Amino acid sequence: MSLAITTLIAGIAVGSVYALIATCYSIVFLGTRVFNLAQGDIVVMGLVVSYFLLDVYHLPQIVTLVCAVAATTLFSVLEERLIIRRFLKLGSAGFGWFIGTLGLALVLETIWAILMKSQNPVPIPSPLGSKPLHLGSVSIEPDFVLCIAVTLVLVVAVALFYSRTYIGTSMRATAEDRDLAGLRGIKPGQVSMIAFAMAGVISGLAGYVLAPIAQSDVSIGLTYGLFGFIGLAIGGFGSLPGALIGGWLVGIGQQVFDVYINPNYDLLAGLILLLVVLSVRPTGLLSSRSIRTV
Amino acid sequence: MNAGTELLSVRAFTAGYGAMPVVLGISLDVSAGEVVAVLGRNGAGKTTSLSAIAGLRSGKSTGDVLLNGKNVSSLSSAEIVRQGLALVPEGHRVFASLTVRQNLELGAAPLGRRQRRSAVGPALDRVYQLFPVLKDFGKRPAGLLSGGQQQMVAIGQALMAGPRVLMLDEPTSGIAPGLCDEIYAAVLRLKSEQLAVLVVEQNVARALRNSDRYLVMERGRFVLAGGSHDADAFGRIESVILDVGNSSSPPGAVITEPSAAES
Amino acid sequence: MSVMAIRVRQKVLAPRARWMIIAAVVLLYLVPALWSTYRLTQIDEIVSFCLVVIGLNITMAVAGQDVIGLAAAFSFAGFCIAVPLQSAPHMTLAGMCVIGVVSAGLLGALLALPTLRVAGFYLGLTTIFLAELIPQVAQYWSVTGGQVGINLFVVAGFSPLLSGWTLYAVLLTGALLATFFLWLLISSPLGRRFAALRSSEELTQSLGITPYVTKIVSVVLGAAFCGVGAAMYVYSQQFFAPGSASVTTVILALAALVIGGAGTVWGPLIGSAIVFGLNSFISFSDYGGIVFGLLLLLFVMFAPGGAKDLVKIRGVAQRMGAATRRRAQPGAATVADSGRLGAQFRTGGAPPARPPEAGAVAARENGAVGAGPVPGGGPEPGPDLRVIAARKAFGGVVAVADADLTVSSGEVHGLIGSNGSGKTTLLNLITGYYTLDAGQILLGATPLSGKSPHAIARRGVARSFQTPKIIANSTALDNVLIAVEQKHRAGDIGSLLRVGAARAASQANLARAAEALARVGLENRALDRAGDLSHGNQRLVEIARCIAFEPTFMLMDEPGAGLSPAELDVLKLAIRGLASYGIGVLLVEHNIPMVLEVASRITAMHEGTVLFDGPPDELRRNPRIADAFLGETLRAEFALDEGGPK
Repeated sequence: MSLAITTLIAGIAVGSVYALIATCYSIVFLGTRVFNLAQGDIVVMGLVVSYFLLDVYHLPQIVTLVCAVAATTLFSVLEERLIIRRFLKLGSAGFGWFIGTLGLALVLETIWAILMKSQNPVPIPSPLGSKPLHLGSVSIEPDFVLCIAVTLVLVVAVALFYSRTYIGTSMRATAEDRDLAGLRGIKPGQVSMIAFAMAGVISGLAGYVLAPIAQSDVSIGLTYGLFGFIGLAIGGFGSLPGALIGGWLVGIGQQVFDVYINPNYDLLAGLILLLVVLSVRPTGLLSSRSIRTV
Repeated sequence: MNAGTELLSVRAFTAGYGAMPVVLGISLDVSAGEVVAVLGRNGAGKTTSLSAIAGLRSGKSTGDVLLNGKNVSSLSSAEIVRQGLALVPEGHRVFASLTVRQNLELGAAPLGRRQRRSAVGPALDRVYQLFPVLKDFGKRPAGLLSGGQQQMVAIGQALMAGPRVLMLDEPTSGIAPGLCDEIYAAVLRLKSEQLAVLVVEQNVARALRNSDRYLVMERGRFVLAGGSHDADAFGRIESVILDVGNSSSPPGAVITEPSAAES
Repeated sequence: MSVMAIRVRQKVLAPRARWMIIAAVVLLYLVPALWSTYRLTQIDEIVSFCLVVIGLNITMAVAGQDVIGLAAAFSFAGFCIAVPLQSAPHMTLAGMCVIGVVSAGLLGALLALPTLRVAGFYLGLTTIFLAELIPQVAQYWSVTGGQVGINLFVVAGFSPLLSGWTLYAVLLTGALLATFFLWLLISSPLGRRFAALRSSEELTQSLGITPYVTKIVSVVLGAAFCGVGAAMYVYSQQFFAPGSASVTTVILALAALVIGGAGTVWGPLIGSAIVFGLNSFISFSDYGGIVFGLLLLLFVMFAPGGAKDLVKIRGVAQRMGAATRRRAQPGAATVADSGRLGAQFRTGGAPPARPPEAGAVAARENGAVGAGPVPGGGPEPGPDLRVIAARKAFGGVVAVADADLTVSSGEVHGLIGSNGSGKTTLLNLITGYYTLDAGQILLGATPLSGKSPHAIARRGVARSFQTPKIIANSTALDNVLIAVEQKHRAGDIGSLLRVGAARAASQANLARAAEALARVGLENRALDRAGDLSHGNQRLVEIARCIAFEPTFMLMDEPGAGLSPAELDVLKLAIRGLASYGIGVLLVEHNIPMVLEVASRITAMHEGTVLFDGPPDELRRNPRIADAFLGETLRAEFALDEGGPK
């Protein structure tokens, strides 16, 4: 019984990271019409920075957190300015940006692999310490709790941003009717940069809370990106609650599969799940908007 | 004509749709406190003209657009708004998922945050004075309003940034007559506030009632111009519209309102 | 321009280019003869990957489908070959190819079927997924040899017949044959369908082609080539491991596609040589991913056409540009051509035209295109196109309310009305892009409502679009040819291989296409790139394409927009010509004078309802239409009755 609960909670925790990635995909796509395949590896950037600052340089958690987020945000903004702007200028010329971001993902993945290769695997300390919490007969890793908590806070923050702030409203407007937004003076370049910056902040936080869980396995970038995509497909495009639920479902499914069936084939299970979802309900559970109409 | 206060000047302007030429060379001036109506049959190029002037170009465009003397032909639509030109496109387009209040406040986007804080209040008041009914709809999603009410939101939204030149593309098409009158009443008030207004209007009588001058467009060029309150205005326009003539010959002599700037 | 002349111009390569290619191929064969077996094995690997890149080229570049992870089919096929090979070590290369093609093709179909219904890039993402998971599964599965993979050296009885230079020569021949196939494909009916698919889904549907099926064919075909590459790889490298099948391989293949020049015939060979050559011969150790990821990214950003973008010498580019400009002269040439519309078209050895065409040719000889019914037998009066009580609403707004319309065969029927009158909605209802809320649309006795756009097109309803939908990168002739081929199928495989009965059929189709172009006066522009033509000529190419489609009905959506007066004259002649062949034309237009001139019946719509429907006879006699029904429409549109001087 306690295994089931632990698995469930682990699933929600990992699923939270997938949900964050799915959220980043949505934010970036709605702001720029670009699907950033390098998103998973940007999350890993947060993880790598956390690892180095905590384990190698022994800096305090707060400093690590700030640096991780700063690094990923800075990178995302640079990516938007240098790469994505270029693609948007070239227009919808076939598969340009899609392949470009894939190339970027490979570059990042390789860099992380090189950086971590020379390091001995060392557990990454969690800000909450390593003593498990106890709820009745169940012991829960504090890392999981942190993951879930941070995700919930972020999702709520993003929702509030979009509904309550001026910039958020203008970004929703741009996503709804780009031309009209331009006619009202909303600059598409600004919207695009803010979208990437937001994704950068979220990715940095995601990497930071992921670090104690995933340890120093950095080959996960593309894999996490792909699982995040399944979460997006399940939950539906452009829906924040959808990203959350989709991510959690994928996370729980993955953990359950890993624990009870076979951890080596979870990617295969994920692909089958994706194909089923696309066949049965391509627009996802919570969104009525298919990616085609976006 | 107040030659010195031309807020909007367009010279030898062409625009197209991809490879398709639509606007073949138009020139016009609108001065402060003036309402100029653009009439013409469908397909003449009126919407393409206004969109292209406002910076929404989907094809090659040549010629000059001058706002208060400044050449804005190469600027994007967002930049042109900052220069003081606002276009209300046809079809009473609003941001349907946002509330009326959010739609209006969004119109002030070009002002920049600091200026916005002080300017939004008075700007909203001005819009509510023009369209009092919007005050009650503040929290309603704009998508739930009627077409006429949406049009008021659209115009109000455009006014929030304080433009000096306002372009309206068929503001009354598909809208109930009562609301049409309200919309034009607002236009006339804006005229008294010294805005320059360029309006595309399908209803000839309404256009003449509410404007100072008219231009008739045919297949990408202006073919007729005159004063809206001239006795023969209606008759001349009616002739051009009903005269189906020869489809292939180029439209008649290209006429623009002689302005003091031209010899 | 005769058919012979067109054929010759299409196939002639500048002699210098031809010699260069022959020399290069000879070198490719001879030079490696001097190399060691080890080096040859490395080259064999490159050749294997070349096949993969050819597959990518077909699916992604020619057919325009975003299947970026297609190289995963290589990984899958590789294991499908290597695993059974352990039990059947005497399998020949040919046998391996068969397994490769079948397994990869099946995989492609399996992935494409659910995903292509959604949006292109879902398939792209699932294939990347697959590229990730195949190595992962293989790593842990004993059947696939776990982390080590399958090593054929240690399999008893595995002694391949081919080795060394012989093996290389065979593989190279395979790659060259595949390149030849690519060249054949691009100029074949299937390749033209791919080009249409790449260009626009609406265009594809309007030609009666089912986009979904064509997409799947392109994916399976591309995957099949990946399968062949896998066979070559397994045979020559004699092992297959998770490392052979990684995401990095997928990205390298993409890099090769882009750098070599996507969509070109020699691109895959050049790109593979560069990318996989670099990968094999330079040891980047751990940094390989950075190098190739960056290469891919930079090329996509700055040189998306491939390496040739980089070597553009300024003089060459200018000269090429000037040549293109000379050919694409707008306006004036069209006017000259319209005079030539009356000239006879020499068909040389083409098969005899069908009876109505004989009459039309005679009519054209007298310079009288579309001068009324064709003397000496037009076709039997065909079915009517009937819209009955059609109704369509979007949300709460009624776009079309209880509209009736009948277009008879051989009639030019004008449909006019302001924006928002419902005429465009009606057009889209007839062509299947919208479904009716109520009412019926019948072609003869067959209901059209509820059918998909391509099914409706196949029933003989052609259409032109507000902005001409043409394939910019193809020639005008190819644009028209694709329509001919939907009507006169010449057998895909036969046409591709240029053999058998299909060959004569292709010749006939070429003649038909050239003739259709001649009918709009563009026979001298047949080999110009369609995207370089003026707007007016693009419109005429679209009309020629519709003529070639031999429809029963032709729906034209504002064809006169953006045309100069001279071009409008040609358009009117073409419309009359269509009607004289028995085609019923529904002409949606703003240009009322033109509609009055060519239409024998006019329907006027206003705010969703049909205001008037009748012949414009009186109107032709009297240009001022103050009190004819047409005037009523305009009066309503412009509310002229409200007005009058104050």
